[in-house]
Amino acid sequence: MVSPLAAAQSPTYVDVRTPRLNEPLGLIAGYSHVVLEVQDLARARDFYAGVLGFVPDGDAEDGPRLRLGRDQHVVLAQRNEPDVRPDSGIHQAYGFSPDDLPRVLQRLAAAGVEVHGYHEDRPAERSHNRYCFDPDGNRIQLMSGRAGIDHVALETHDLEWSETFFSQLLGGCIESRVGWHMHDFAAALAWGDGKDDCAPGTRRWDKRYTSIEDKSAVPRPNGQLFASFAPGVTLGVYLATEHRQEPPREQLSGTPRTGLRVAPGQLPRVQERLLQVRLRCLRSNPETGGPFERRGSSLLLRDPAGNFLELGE
Amino acid sequence: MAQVESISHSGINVIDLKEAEDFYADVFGAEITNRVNFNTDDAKRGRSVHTSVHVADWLFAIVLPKGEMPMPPEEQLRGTNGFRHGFWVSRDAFPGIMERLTARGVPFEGPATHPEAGPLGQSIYFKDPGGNFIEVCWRRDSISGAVALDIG
Repeated sequence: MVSPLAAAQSPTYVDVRTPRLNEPLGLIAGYSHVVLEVQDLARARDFYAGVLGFVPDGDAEDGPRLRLGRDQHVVLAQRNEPDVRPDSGIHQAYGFSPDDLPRVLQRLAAAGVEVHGYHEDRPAERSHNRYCFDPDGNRIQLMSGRAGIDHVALETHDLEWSETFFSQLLGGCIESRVGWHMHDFAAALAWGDGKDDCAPGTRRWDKRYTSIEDKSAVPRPNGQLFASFAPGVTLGVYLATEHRQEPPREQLSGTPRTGLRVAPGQLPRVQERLLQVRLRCLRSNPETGGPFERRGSSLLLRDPAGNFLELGE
Repeated sequence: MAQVESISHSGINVIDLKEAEDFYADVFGAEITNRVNFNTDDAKRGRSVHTSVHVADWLFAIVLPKGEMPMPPEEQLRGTNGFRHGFWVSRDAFPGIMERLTARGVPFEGPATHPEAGPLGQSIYFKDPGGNFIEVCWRRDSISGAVALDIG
């Protein structure tokens, strides 16, 4: 193992031209938590505990937390203007046991929460098509399966940098892509004709760059990629269809945030990788020498699009 | 005196950008110089979805079609009426191209030997993964130095 100091002094720069990984590096074992921004804590708690059935479990640094599955959490951070983008591809997917899901759907109906049946592009998600919004507009995917956080989808302004980050730095493989293949574009035409009910953030209208052709706008797939870190552990990244205000480059911790559980014993390896494998779009923290901060035994960092992540065992 | 400077680029449609990039990089040693419309800025400007592939001094803009694109039959290795892009390689590099095509499982026709009096030595004919017809040849006249722009 290379010493942290040596790693920081001789970094290896990677980008989208760096040869792709054929298999995940085994650094990330799953999700530990998500931190969501909400305006009204009591209202959000009622929804996550009372309707979705998550179990109140004390307070985290950012706010009250609720447990789901065996040892995962949703943390609610109170903000007067929550950072919520219901029209984007951003969402959290929660799994419910096949016995539990019908009860959750009943409680959603009783609470007057509309459940949508959008179509997704990722092959593994074609049959899981139930979505709703929490009272603040955070989009939730309701999946049948193992109880807990199934996956999280983030947004980026640059899919290529995001691919480099989640693959080269965090050791994921690209499980599937949308937007690189002819079929993706053909499928978007049906959506343009109003014949395909696609999930938010999966399609877009592009104003034509050229005026040579008669149509002023064309329906297109919105680029997406899905990084796989371990069997059943996938993270989605959707292209932002609007320019967003991102946090300053040097800010490495904040909310909303996605917590990833590092595989047992791998935290030193993750830290070494963050010090040695560099992306030119990320800023280093003067205290750690790499693009991350330490909080207790966790590492806090941001991806190239400004999504905050927490890595801990 | 020609009224143009040179050919700027060829735009060709492919089925899968990643597959096509890998093909041109592996078979021809092409350089992937630019990918367009995988960031929000390009999307907002409505730019076409394409990758710039430099094969030596030739720029291929590999572009996704707007919808499903008909493909030539699998066994067809030469374009209708001979339509193709032709690249020349040195005589020494010629077998290496055939080896890489074979390793990738890409069928090719040839090598066809051209008349000794002509400028071309041998050619092979194949398709890229998007069904675009390609010829690769070595030139007899390249051995003596100046390459005449003549295909015999």
